[in-house]
Amino acid sequence: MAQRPEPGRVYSFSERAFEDCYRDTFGTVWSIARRAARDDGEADDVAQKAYLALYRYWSRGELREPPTHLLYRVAKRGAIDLLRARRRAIGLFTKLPRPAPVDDISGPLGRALRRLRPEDAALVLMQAAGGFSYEELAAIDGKSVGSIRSRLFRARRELAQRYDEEGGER
Amino acid sequence: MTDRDEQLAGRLGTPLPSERAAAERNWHALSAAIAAPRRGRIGAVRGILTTVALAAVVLVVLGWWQGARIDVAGDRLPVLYREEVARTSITAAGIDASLAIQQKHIENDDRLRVVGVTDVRLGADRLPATIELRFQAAGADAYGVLAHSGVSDPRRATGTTRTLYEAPFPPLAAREQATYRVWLHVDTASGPIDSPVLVIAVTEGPEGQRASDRTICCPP
Repeated sequence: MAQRPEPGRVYSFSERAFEDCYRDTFGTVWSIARRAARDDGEADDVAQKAYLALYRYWSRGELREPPTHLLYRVAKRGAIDLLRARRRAIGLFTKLPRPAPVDDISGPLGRALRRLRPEDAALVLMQAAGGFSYEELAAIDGKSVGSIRSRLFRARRELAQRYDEEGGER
Repeated sequence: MTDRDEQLAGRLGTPLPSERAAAERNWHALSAAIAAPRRGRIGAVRGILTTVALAAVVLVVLGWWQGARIDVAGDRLPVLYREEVARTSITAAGIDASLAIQQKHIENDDRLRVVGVTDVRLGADRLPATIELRFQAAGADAYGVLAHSGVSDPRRATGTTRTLYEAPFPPLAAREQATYRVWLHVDTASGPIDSPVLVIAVTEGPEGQRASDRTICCPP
């Protein structure tokens, strides 16, 4: 899915190419953003910031990597920021009554996700929402494949533990 | 890692029911956000062009109204200045002379200089004569001579002489200011005669020398 960056290449921009990119990638970006966000509004902010960043770099001819790499990286960064903010909020309001869980966002799985380190949670979301291979995730993040592989392994195992702790179905 | 761990993580990738509505909502918002800076840029360019045009009109009107000149001095920004700062004259029998203090460019100098420009006409009965452009710095005991010339023979056609010259004032250090009394002295066969004294302040600025007339307000 993700392209391999070619050093020195400038990715030519057109409104049509941006629109196609939006159509092809929005589902993934939204899936990452919405699961990290408290509501649609927060997720909208993450998605729009990611696409606007892509548009600016791309339309100015400053993009030196495949457009999706920049897009997913900015979306992941936005998701990490949201998850960090939510962790702080959870700490502050932990004793308040919580609404009944209804889906994977606010149910046990969602709560388990938010108990992971934000960076790990965002990585799990990226892999799950985008179906990226380790190599693709490494290319997007600029990390080594081994590092991505071990982080994902640990994060998924911790997610399962937290899910159990949150009362998820076994 | 177990299959269960993988399946659990995989559930986080299932499509969300809100995706379609979110895609449309965000596309509208993005389209508006992308279009806004374009309008902003066009507005900014239009504003700059209007300002430049207005500034040009103001400069031209000022120049036309005050006899000012717009010029480039010392390869710097354009500067606006009045060429003539002060003027005086001598009118007597057989003498018609004028002295003007100007700020202008002179040969071999890219920067503005303050010069005294004289135009002296003498009748034959005043000859021989000497003409001096004199100046005296504020606080100085003696005067100096910016230009000196002697005339003796009238032109055959008119029976008069005409002497024209322009003499630059002494150079100053950066940002230095000097105040001078300046006058024209003509020593003729029938006696000496002096023009009224002009008082000018000369300042060394980034674009060169600038002068202002202090004849009325503040003699040295």
